[in-house]
Amino acid sequence: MADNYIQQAVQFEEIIPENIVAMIRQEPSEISELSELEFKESYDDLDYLTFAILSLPSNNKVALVRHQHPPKAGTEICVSQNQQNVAKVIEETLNQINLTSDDLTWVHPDYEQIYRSRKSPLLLKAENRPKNFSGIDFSNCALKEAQLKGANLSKTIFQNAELGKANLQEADLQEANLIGTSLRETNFQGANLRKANLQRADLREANLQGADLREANLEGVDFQRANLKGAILNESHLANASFKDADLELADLQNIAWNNETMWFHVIGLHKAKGIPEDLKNQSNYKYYLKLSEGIEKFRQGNLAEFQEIYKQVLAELEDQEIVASLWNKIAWLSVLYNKHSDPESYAAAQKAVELKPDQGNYHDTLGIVLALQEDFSSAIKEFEIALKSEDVQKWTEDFKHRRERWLESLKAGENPFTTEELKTLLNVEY
Amino acid sequence: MEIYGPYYRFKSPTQTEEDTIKQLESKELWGKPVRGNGIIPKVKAYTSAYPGVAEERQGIKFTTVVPPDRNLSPGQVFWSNGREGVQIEDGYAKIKLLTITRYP
Repeated sequence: MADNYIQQAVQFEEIIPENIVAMIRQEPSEISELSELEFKESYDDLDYLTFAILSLPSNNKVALVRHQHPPKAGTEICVSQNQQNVAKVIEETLNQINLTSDDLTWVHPDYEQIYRSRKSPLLLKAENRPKNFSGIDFSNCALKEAQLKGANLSKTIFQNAELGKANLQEADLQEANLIGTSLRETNFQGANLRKANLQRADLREANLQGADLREANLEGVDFQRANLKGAILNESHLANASFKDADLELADLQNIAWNNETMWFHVIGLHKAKGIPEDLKNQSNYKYYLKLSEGIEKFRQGNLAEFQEIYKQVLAELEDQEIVASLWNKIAWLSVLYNKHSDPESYAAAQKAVELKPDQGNYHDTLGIVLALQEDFSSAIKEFEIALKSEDVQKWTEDFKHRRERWLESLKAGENPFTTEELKTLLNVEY
Repeated sequence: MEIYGPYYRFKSPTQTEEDTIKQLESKELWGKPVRGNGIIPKVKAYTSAYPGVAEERQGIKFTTVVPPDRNLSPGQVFWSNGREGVQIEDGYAKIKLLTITRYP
């Protein structure tokens, strides 16, 4: 940038309020189109930026700021250090530029009330009283991240609603209708879900630790990577449910109803679950479920060699190619995360998984990491590109996908993103 | 010991080549108030690499054991006075870095 630009920009810098109180999804160009607001260029102590000063009817002034290099798109709403009534100022700002609270992507926690109110006004109003929504019909409602800890939601209808990342800790959901509800990463710790109907609900990565699911209808539920430690599943209906990578340690499985489509492979803690019914114990694959569960425990105890040995013993006996591929992938994935480097065994395992099921994006993802750790960046880039174009992407969380995009970007720039810290983070968040 | 980062800063009037050389030599990062009218000095950085072309995102990548401020907007990270490991000197906030390299 030319020096005269920097001198001119300094003048602007002095007048831009600095406290970021909210983010909106639109870029300055979109805001200009909506409101005819003119953005100027400047810089601050972080980076180059574009900004516009907005005078509000309340005589307050805010700045809309877009830095040049943030990892995510969007424009900051900034106020001065001593700004009063910030929530009102945010509202006024949105009105002035013809946007709504739906366009907010982040609000500072100190002023979050406005943000929560846009998502579920009914729930906000109830904040200071007992949350009693028993029997209310919330079908198809957008209730993502709703705060319903301890709420009375018995017989409440949430059919096909969006309740991902909601806090339903210790809530009473007895006989609630949660058919087809999106409950990904939702917190049900200690919740009462007795006789609730969760048919086909998405409970991936949900926390159901200690939840009471007695007699619940859990047919077709996806529990992938869910925490079901100590959950009570007695007499629940589990036909077509998937427990892949879910943790069932100390879960009570007495008198559960299941069928041959119930997915028990890759269950964690199954060998420590209670009340496993005889018909499940007599199933031909049961011994493999148990062995794999024990294998994962060995991994958690830091015994990689025993984990690999157990998995290979199971592999030697299994014929189902889909399961075989998933086991090879698991060996490769956990081995590289554990060793924090690639070795011929990890590479061979990842290759086998891809060869057996080339349509599985997740297996290409694992092979990508293995190749990157071998410094074969061009091959790794190809694998991540296949993974990111696969149908598996639809099952990924935003964080999961963003992480892959960041890796790809680094690899294309000739940098290996798989630092020890990154692999440690992966072990914490994706294992 | 918890390690925070990697974080990034990119070339700008407040991240010049001269600044980068000083930071690489001292393994320290200094920061003024966010903008000229501010009163609280803060060290500032981005939380992830900018997904743009390489020429536009030359800068530094670093880690630190100093925990950043809480409740920050997505994508940015600050270290303000009052946090353990943040020192104030001549109106600047400064933190020690664990690792620092040129980026990309």
